[in-house]
Amino acid sequence: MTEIGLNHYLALSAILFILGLAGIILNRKNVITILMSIELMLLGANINFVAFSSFLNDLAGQVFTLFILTVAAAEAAIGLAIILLYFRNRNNIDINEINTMKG
Amino acid sequence: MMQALAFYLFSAVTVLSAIMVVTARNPVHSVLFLILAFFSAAGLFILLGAEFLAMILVVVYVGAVAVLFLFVVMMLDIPVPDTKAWFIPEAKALITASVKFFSYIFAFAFFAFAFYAAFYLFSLYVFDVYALLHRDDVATVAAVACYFAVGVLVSRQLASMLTGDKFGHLFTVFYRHLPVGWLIMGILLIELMLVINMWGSYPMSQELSTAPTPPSMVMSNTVALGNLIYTDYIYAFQISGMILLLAMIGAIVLTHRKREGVKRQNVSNQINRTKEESVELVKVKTGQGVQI
Repeated sequence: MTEIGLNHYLALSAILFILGLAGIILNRKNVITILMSIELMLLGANINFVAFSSFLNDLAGQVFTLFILTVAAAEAAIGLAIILLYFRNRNNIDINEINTMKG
Repeated sequence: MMQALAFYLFSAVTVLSAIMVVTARNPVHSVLFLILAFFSAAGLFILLGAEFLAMILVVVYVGAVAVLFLFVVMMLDIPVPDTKAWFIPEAKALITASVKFFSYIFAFAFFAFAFYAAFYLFSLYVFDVYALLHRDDVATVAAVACYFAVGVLVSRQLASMLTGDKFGHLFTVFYRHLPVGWLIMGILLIELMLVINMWGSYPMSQELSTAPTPPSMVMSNTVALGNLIYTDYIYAFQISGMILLLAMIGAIVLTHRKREGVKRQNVSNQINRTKEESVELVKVKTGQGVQI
């Protein structure tokens, strides 16, 4: 209990990942919350990377975390831009209303 | 001991704020809890000895991404749905659907039992007598099939009348509100936990490490990461820079718009003005004024 091992961090990252997934699947309000859930999932992945990097004494994991952070930031920026564009055209970002692509 | 305490504190805060991110009904609250989650994750990174990443997490995520989220959330002015948390109507619908479903099942079972009991007594007289008389297997099978089909149909009809609901409609309602999502999440979590518990590392994995962490006495985490990024991972680093540039250009191109009714300075138009199109000499006659 007092000795924190790799498994503790892995369990934490699994919980974070699942919570992000829950946010994506169960969300019925708006798209922004989905983007935030994606950020949570990426955070879970990052914790996994850093935990392995720390416990296996390999810095490569931290380098990859850096790249994940970069990609996540780019994804958030583009996603928010798309949401902004959608909001300007439709005046809401309700997920149930987003069905323009439905044939 | 201190490390364990810190781990449990940070991870509890991370998980709780992640739950709040997902369930908060106001998106602004979600963003603020996301910031809290990132802060405590930065604490965890420091516990793991990744100081540079902890810094980056705070600076980039809390300082840039979360604030971007906050800006967009406040700019969009989304109406906060209602006073209830989002999952309460969901749970209510589920309970209603389950009650309907099980009352339907019970009614169906009751009528089916009653029908078959009655029909059995009747069939003892009709079908069995017929089959026995003619020694005809086909007739027996047909009789039994007919007996089952009629039983199911009649029981279904009676159950529908009793519960005031059609079977098909009931199933749609039930499945639409059944949180399949929770099921999936539960399965995934169990799977991940199984993997985590069964997991073991290959004994030689320490020697396979491509970038062994130098002891913190020799060089700090930031220096070690820098040595690695600018040598072994230089191409990936360049590509991530390109991705950021692309994201920046993309975001600007997507959201930039020309507004109507806004006066802007057009330098080339200003420079290209000629004397002929901008100056007019008018002789003013005394006492008459001039039409401009």
